[in-house]
Amino acid sequence: MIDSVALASAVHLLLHSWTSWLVVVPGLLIGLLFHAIPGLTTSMAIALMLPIIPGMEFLPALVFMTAMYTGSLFGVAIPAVLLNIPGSPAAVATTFDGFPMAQAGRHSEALGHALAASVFGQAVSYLILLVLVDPVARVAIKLGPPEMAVVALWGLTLIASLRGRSFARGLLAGALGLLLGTIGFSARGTIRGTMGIDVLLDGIPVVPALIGLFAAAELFNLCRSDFVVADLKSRSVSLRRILTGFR
Amino acid sequence: MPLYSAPDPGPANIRRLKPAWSDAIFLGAVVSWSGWYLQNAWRASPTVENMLLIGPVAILIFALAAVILWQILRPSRTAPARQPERPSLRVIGSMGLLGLYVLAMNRIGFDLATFLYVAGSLVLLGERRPFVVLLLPLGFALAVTWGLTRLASMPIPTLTGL
Repeated sequence: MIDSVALASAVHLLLHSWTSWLVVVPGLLIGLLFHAIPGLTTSMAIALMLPIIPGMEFLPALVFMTAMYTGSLFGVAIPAVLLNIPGSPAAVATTFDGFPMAQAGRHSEALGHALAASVFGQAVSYLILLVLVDPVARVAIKLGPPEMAVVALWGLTLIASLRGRSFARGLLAGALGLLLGTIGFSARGTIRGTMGIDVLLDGIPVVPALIGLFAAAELFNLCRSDFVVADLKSRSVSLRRILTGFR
Repeated sequence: MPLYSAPDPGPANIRRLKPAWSDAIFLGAVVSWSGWYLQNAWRASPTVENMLLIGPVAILIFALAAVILWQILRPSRTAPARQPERPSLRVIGSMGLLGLYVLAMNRIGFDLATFLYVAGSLVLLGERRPFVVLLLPLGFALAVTWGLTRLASMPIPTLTGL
């Protein structure tokens, strides 16, 4: 059950001081800007803001970091829609529909859709987290290795069926990803597949893999044409159309 | 009598599709790497704990590769023919530039390598204005180098000593 006393005191703390809310917009913008550049992460943004954060009071610092994180969840959709380069693994699915819309000149609507999904998805998920965190935590504690293995297998089959063209090819991609994920130290200290490269001891880092698989591949693809949007008239970004997509 | 007669196309309901050799080559690369990784993991530790995931997954990859290879060599006659895109000079040049950039970073410095990469990419993509080809890469290289060294405190080799 929710600790109503703690919840009430937290709400009182948030509503008591209006100055703490002044950092929301800067935090959102910083998080958005950081994640609009593929390869930069929330941890990098917080690391760069570290000289500032200790000088802030507790509540504004917490609100600022939360705002940075929240801004980042939409920021990753911007390169996903406009360049077909996801800012993080979570934005990969945004490229499926977002980039084709951008190529058709509907990039503003696509950004609006992504913004709406980010806003409502986060709001609803925060509410659900607030209400259900206790029962979910009780279930999560009981999850063990068999359950995690089933989740992994389920994810694998989901990947395989995602593109739809060939189940075998999707499954092969998932299996290859599984093998790549075992590179480095095993739980028992066995070194596998590092080829003597020290950086691979902890496995393939996510950011270089993301850059190599998505950014570099899309970079070469974008070299074929001069512009992402072929139609000259459609190349402007319209706030009105973003809001239309948001609605 | 005509000097050339077109070959008999066969029955009207059959279309001959060429195998996608590029797919087969990529599949070969995947299988080769999987085989190498399997033997590398086996040599590191031939125990159940080490091979529990790698062994079955590698076998799955080999089996799937066989299925996909059969699909490649015997393409469906009702499937629409896929037109593979031939890589343009721009794409090949961009790949080469990126490779040179990665190799040159530690040798000539991150800042100089970034400048040359961005400038080379601009020229490759058709930019000819000297103002843009020189100043934009310079500003970008300096900004990125300054950001990584001063803000993020990353130890990267530089020529300018930023």
